[in-house]
Amino acid sequence: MNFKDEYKRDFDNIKPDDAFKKSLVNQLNKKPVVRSYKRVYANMLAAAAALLLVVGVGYYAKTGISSNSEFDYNADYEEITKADNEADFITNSETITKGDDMAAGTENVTIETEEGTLSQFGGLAETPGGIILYENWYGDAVTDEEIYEVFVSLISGKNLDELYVSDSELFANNNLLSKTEMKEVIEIVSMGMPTDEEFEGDKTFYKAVLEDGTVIRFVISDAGYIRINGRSAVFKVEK
Amino acid sequence: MNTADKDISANELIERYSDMVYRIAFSRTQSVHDAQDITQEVFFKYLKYVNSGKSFNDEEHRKAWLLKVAMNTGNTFIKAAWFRHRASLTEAADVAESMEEKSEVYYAVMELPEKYRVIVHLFYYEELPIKAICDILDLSETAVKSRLHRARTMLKDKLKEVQYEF
Repeated sequence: MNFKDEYKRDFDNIKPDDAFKKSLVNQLNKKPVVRSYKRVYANMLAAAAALLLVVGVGYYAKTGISSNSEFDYNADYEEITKADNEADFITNSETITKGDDMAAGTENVTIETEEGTLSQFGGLAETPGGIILYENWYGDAVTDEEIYEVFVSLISGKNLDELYVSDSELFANNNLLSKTEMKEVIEIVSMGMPTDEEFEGDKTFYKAVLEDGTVIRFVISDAGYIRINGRSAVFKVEK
Repeated sequence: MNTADKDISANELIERYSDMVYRIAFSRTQSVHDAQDITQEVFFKYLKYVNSGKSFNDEEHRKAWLLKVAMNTGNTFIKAAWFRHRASLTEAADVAESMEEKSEVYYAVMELPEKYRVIVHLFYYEELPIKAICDILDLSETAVKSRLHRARTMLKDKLKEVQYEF
């Protein structure tokens, strides 16, 4: 059976009734007066107010009306060149530069390391150099699927600057991929589907560098499994 | 219609495009009432657009504009917390209101997360090319293909008792 035919048959029957259409035509034919939009704007205002409330609550929940928020104004960044291996976080952000008071709490603060074993996920992260505020690369995505989707969007769009490959996590002898090779990797990654299976197979490590300097590391196995550094979720390329 | 868009009347506009706008709104909200609200708002926005002196290059442009505005207008509804609560309560009632019996394909698609439902609708029902879907949804080609691929995989799993050709 053909999916499209079935779907079209079902949705052909979904349409506004004639009374609604007639009412719409009448409203469009009226001269534009303010009161014609009252209901529309009332709905829009209600929706906007509700949205602002949700966004506002979400924003404060995320940034925290708590002692942590003082770091928004902390300009005491230090240049960090190596991570403490005891800090068992893995980061996707790599370059930190000295900030000034005006830059305090601004975006794109990252930590430069050889290996990138630093804290992850937005907000605060503990490192040998102290607590540093930085932005994650996946914004307010929450679930593994959402984060993966942001990941796919970032590396498949104009944001991607370079893609490196290595047979180890250290990227000591990493190779920069050509445009064609990048395209192949992006194609594979975009086909990843969430799976409950364990990650298996020989790993190849990738380091994507975005145009704004953000680095995202991920690994693909020869069995078609994909995992983003710092995340436990496994995705699999369906054949 | 008090509009600068002289080549199409209100009647013709609604005849040609209200079903399309309503369907995309319904596929996202799964609510008759919200789909009607969104549809009305889209056409009010259309009126405002053409009354400001703007026009469309051709019918394809007009159609794409309406779909994009329908998507953007729907976003406001969908993101609002009150909508999320309301949708779950009214969904069953609204679906039951529709007169015709629906196939398992319909229910399988309606069970998909919204972002996959909309891609399925634009691709299979509106038969839009990937590039057009990218423009409407403001997504990269890879992202659209990825979502379409995922949607198909999920649908094949839901509809596994019958071999559907995709």
